Amino acid sequence: MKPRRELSEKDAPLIEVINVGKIYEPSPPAMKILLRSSITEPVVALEDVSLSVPAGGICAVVGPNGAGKSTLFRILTGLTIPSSGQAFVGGYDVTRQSYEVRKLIGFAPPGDQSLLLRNTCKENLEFHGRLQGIPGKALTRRVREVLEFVGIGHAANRVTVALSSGMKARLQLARALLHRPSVLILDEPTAAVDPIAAVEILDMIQAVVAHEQSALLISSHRVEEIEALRDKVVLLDQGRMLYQGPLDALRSIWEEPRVEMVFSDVDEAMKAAALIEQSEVAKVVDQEGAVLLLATRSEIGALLGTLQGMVHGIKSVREVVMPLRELLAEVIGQKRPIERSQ
Amino acid sequence: MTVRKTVRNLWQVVMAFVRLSFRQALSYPLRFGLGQASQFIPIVIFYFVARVFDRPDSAHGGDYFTFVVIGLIGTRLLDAGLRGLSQEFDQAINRGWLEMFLVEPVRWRFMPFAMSMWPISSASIGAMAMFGISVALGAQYAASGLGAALLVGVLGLLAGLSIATLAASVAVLSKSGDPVLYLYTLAAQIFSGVYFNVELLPGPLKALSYVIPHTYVIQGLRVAVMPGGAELPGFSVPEVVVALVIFCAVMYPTSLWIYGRALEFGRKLGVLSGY
Repeated sequence: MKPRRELSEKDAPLIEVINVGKIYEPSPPAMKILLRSSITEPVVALEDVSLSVPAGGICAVVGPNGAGKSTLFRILTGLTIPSSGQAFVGGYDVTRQSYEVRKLIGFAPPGDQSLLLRNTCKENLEFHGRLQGIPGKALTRRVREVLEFVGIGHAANRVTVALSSGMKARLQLARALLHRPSVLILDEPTAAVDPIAAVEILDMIQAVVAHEQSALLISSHRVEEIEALRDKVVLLDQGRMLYQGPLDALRSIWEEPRVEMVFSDVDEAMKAAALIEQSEVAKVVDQEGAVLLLATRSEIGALLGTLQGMVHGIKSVREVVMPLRELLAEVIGQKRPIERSQ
Repeated sequence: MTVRKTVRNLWQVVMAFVRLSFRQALSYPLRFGLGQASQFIPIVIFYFVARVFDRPDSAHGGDYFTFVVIGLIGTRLLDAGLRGLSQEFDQAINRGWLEMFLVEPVRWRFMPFAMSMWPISSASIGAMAMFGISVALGAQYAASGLGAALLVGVLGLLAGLSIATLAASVAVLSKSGDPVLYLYTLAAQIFSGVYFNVELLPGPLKALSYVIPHTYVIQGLRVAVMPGGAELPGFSVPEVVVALVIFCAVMYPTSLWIYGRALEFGRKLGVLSGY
């Protein structure tokens, strides 16, 4: 089957989501006889979400629980269909060409539930490799290769239930990479992993994306991971997209640069705070003893200029970067979309 | 996709699921062993029941023990497709595997067939063992009818698979295939003639037995392999084969179509993941 969108341009997106919305409707009354449903009225899970990820690109989907991240992933993997809008993977429509889409995708769901816990690592991958249509000898070779790559080659014959959380996460990644997918969709791949192992796993993922020129869509609750990916970020909250773009651009739009000044004593700091408040160069965000935290978009020279003769009382000056956790919390807390041109 | 490629793909998917189910079964050796052994208990029970009521009776082909054993073997084969697939689906749903099965590049319509191959294979081996045990206990079979019995058995498996695929359609939406199976197996137990000839049923209930494929499979097997089978009241082997072919030709594509529609409806509702 031909893709509905021809990927003729070199930098055409491998993942393209266009104004996608998803409303979970209550089950029809007849179905309630079969299964108890908690949905009594329509639930808007996604609203007008658009994003694109090119080959070799990384997009981190960030948002609190219930933001719509998993629904977005389910749409892209064909497990559900959008109520409005369209989504394409490798040019194939995820609603109508689900089979072709699934050939291109490597997916890792959150948690270890989807692993065959009573089977060995090798058996897990062999099973999925057969479903993916990888022939016998090539499958044996590929299983060994991918287990070595994720660092659990030594545990190939170990039963999955006996693996540590970190090893299970690596096995999930190995399964997603098995058929060399051109699109990787990883839903919280490091949620159950210690920070050091998480860094290793992220490094592997980044190496695969760079080497295979695949497109990566990843969700994570770990802010340090999102920062480490240093690529595009999509901020979702209650199904709405608050921001899409590079993380650095979000900082420059949202974050007012902060400067920390340490004075020789508290009196000096108080006098300086009074002078700064009178000026329009900066504003005092916080004062703790002899330390002032200032918010300013002016040059440091202009700031020092307002202090005139008090400069000699300054012990140190440094720029303070707003922690990403705080930045994301502020953006999500504000609950309104941010335009890149803002 | 060429036919050859499709068949190769289907074979690979079937083997993947057979190996998975086999390993899964052997992960709990005692449960597996006792489960397999327990299917032979009814044969021993009916061996003694037949000795208690040891009367030549034309409704039972003159040998009640052989009559019931064939009923049990027929039910075992049909239930393999029927209950086996439903159990495989329930397991996949409850263990959280189904989501990953559906995300893999597998034609979804292959899945009921592939997932039922392990229960069908193990039930076929079990049926052969039941046959052997019953011979050891004195059951009489006509070797000349084994070919016809094999044909009826295969058609019976396909008929069971058709109903199981319908149950799977309900399972993907309701997360449990049991409701359909409860209804069906209850009807099959009473009306298919496992323990007595359906000709003994009153008129309207006898009519009901004719819509259950179990009835045809069990009757066909009895007529084919019981020494006095030809004298049994009811359908002949050719009539049974025709009935089962019609049932399978109509029901299997229909149930596959319904299964496909159920998956599409599940996608729309967003209920294919989770349980």
